[in-house]
Amino acid sequence: MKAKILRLWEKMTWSWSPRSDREASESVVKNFWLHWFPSRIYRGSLSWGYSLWLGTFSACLFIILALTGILLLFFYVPSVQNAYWSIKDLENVVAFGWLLRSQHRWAAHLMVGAAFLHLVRVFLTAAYRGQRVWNWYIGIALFIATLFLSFSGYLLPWDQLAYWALTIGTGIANAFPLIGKSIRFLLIGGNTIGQSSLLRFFGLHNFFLPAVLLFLFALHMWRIRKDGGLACVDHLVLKTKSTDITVNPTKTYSLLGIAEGTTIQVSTTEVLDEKNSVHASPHLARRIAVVLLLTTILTLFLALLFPAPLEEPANPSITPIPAKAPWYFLWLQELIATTTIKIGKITVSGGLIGGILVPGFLILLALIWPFLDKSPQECIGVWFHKSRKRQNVVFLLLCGAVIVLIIIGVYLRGPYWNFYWPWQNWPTIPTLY
Amino acid sequence: MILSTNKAFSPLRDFYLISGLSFILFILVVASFYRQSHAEWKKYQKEFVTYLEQNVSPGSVAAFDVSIKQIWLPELNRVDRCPSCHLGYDQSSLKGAPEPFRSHPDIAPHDISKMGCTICHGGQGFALKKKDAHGEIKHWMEPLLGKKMAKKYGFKDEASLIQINCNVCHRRDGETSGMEMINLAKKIITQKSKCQTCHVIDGKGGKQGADLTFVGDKPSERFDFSKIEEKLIAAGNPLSMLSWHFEHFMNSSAVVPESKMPKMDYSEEEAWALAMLMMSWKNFKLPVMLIPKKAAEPLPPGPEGSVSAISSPADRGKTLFESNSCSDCHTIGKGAEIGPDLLGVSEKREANWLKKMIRTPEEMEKTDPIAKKLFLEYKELGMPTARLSEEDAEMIIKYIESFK
Repeated sequence: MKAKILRLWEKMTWSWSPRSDREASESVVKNFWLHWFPSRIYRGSLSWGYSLWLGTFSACLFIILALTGILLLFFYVPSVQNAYWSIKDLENVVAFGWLLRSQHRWAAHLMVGAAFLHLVRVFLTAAYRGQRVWNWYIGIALFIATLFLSFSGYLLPWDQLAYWALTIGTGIANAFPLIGKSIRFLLIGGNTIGQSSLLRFFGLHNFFLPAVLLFLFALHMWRIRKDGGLACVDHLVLKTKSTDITVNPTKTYSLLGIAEGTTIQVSTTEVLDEKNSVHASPHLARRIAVVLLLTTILTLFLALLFPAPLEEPANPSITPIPAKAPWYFLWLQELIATTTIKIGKITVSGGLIGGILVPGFLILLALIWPFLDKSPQECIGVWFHKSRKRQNVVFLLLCGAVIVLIIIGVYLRGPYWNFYWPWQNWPTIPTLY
Repeated sequence: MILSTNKAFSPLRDFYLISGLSFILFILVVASFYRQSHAEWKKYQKEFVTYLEQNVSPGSVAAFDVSIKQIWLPELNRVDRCPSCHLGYDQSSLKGAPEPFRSHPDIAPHDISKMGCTICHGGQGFALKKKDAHGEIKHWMEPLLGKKMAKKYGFKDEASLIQINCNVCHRRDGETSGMEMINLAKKIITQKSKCQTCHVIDGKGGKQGADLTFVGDKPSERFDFSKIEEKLIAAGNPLSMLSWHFEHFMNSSAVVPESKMPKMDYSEEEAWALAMLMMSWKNFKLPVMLIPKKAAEPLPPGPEGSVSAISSPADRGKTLFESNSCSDCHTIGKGAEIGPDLLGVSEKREANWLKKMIRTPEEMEKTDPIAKKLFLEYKELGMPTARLSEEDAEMIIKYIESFK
C-alpha cells in the first residue's frame, strides 16, 4: 500500500529519477522547465559583475507584473464610466488593492529602465557580434514591446494623467508623414479618444502585447542557448585558444536539422570542463532565486513608500498644466516641443523630427551598428574594451542625451512647457474653491 | 578591463544572501499587512463603540459590526463611504455626540439614504482616509464646503458656501429657505441687473457677454488670473474660480481690462452671492426622483401676448421698450447709461434711420457712419438685435416721443 502511494506521488511529482550522471544531464532535455538551462554553465556568466543580471531582473519584473496584473484584472472595469472608479475602489476598499496597483506600476517603470540598461550592457560588452546579432534584434523588439506595454497600461486608470499622456502619445503617431492620421485612428479607434480607445488599449495591454513579449522572450532564451550562453563564453574560447576537437560530421547538433551551426561548447572542450563550469542546477537556479527575491523586495519597498498616483477623472475639456507623456517618452515630447525648424517657407514640424525622424534614426542605427562595428574578436564579452573606446563614447553620449532630455522633461518643465529650475516656483494653478 | 572573473563560487555566501533577503521580504510583507489592517476608519469605529458603551447603552454595542459603511447611489454614480467614520449620522439620539459621531441635523424633505453626503457637502465619497475624503488633496477638485473653507474665505457663516451645492439642484426654484446667499443672488439677477441683455442664460439672451448657462463647469485654464493673481496672493485669498468671480463682480475691468461689462456697484456681500451663484450653474444630471417637489415658479410673461391690441401705440411702445430689454441700457431723459439717453432722439435723427437702428442695430453699426461713431463712443458695446417688426419700431418711437 505504502509503495503504491509512493509510486503515485512519484508519478505526480517526478516521473523519473536519474541513475547516472549521464542520465542527470539528459534530464535537462527531458524536462520542460530544465531545458531552459544547459546542464553545465560557464562560471564567468554567473558572476554579478559581468551581466549585472539585468536581463534576469527584467524577466523577474515581468513575472511580478503578470501576477499582480492577473489579480488587478479581477477588479478593473474597462469602461469610460467605470474604469476610474474601479481604480478608486482598488485604492480604497479592495484588500491590498493599493499595494497591487502600486507594485504593478513600479515594476512597469523599473522594467522599462532594466530593459534599457540591459541593452546598454550588451552594447558595452560587444555582445551583439556575429550570430548574436539575432538576439540583439530580438532584444530591441523586446524593448519596444516593453515600452508599448507600459504605455498601454498607462491609459487604463482613465484619469487626467492617463488621458493626456495618451493624447500626447497618439499625437506623436499623428506626426508620421502620410499615414500618421490613419495610425492614430487605428490606435484610438476613432478621431477622438473615448471608449473604443480604452477597449483597444485594454486588449493590447492584457492580451496582444504580453503574448508578443512572451513569444519574443522564448526566442531570446533559445538564442542564448544556441549562441553558447552569454558572450563572455566567446571571450573564454578565444583566450584559452584550445586545440579544437573534431566535430563528429554525422551529428547536426541542431533542432531537427533546421537551425544551422553548432554552439561553441560543441567545438571546444575547455568551456564546460570542471575548472570553468558548474552545474546549472543548483548554481544558476540559486542565483536566479536571489535576483527574484531582490526584485520582489525592491518593487514591494517602492510600492509601500511611494504609492501609485491617481489624478482627477479624465476630462477632455481640462488640460492639466503641464500635460506630460510618460517619462520614457518625455525625451520625444521635449524634442517635439522644441525642434520646429523654419527654413524659408518650408516648416519642418517638431512632431516629425522628435516623433519620427530621431527615434527612427536611433532604431535604424541600433540595427546596423553590429555591422559597422569592426573591432577585433577579443572585444566580445569584455566591458569597455580599449579598441571600442570611440564607439562606446558615441553610444554613451547618445544615451546621455536621451537621459538629459528625459530629466529636463520630468523635472524642469512646468506649465505651458516653460523651463523652470528646481528652485523656481511654478505659478499657482487656480482651484475651484 | 575584464569584470567577469572566474571567482570560486561560495554556496554558503549565496545561502546567507538568500536568508537575508528572505528576512527583508518577510519584514516588508508584515509591513504591508500592518498597513492593510490599520485603516483610519477602524480607529474611529473602535472609538465609536467605546463612546456608545459609556454614554448610550452598554448592552447594544455587541451588535456593532466593524466594517466599511457606505451609501451606494447608482443613479448618481456615487458611493459615499462617509458613514464609515461619521457613524451616528442617522441616529437622532446622538445629537450631542462629538464629531465624527454626531447625528445629522434634520433636513427633511431631503432623504440622506437617497442622496448621500457628497452631493451637498462636496469631498470624495470613494475615499476612506480623512484627508482624501474631505478632498483636501491635490487631485480632487471638490473639497468639503464646510467650516475650513468658510474660514479660508473669511465668511462668518460656516454654512454659506454649501449653498453653492444646494443650488445645483435648486437652480430653477425661486426663494428657498436656508439658501440666503443664493436667494440674494437670484433676486439681483431677476430684479436689479438684467444679465440676459448681454449674456445667454438657458439659451436666451444677448451675445455680447459669455454664455453663463454652465459657467460653473468652466475649467480654470479659461479664466484669466493674470491681473488679480498678485492681489489675491498678497491678501492671502485663495487663487480660486470663486475668488475670480467675486473680483469680477466687484470690478470687471480690473480683472479683464477689455471687459465691456458695466460697473454694477455691488456690495461685497452681493458680489460673493453672485459669485456663488455662478459656481452653482453646473451641467448636472439630476435623477428624476431627486427633482425638488415644489413646482418651479411661473416664468415672467414673455413679450408675446403682453402687447394688448386695445392700448394706444405709445402704451404698446412702452411695453415693447421694457420687454425687449431696451430699458436695460437706455433711459429717456435720465442721462446716458450703457447706451445713449433717448430723450428727443426723434428730432436728432431721421425716422427712417431710427427704425433701422431699432430693427437691425448690428448691421447699422457696421455700415452706418453715425451708428459706427456711437458704437465706438459707448465702449464698443453693441446693441443686440431684437426681433421687431416695422410697426413695433414705430410704436417704440411713439413711446419715446411721448416724453417731452
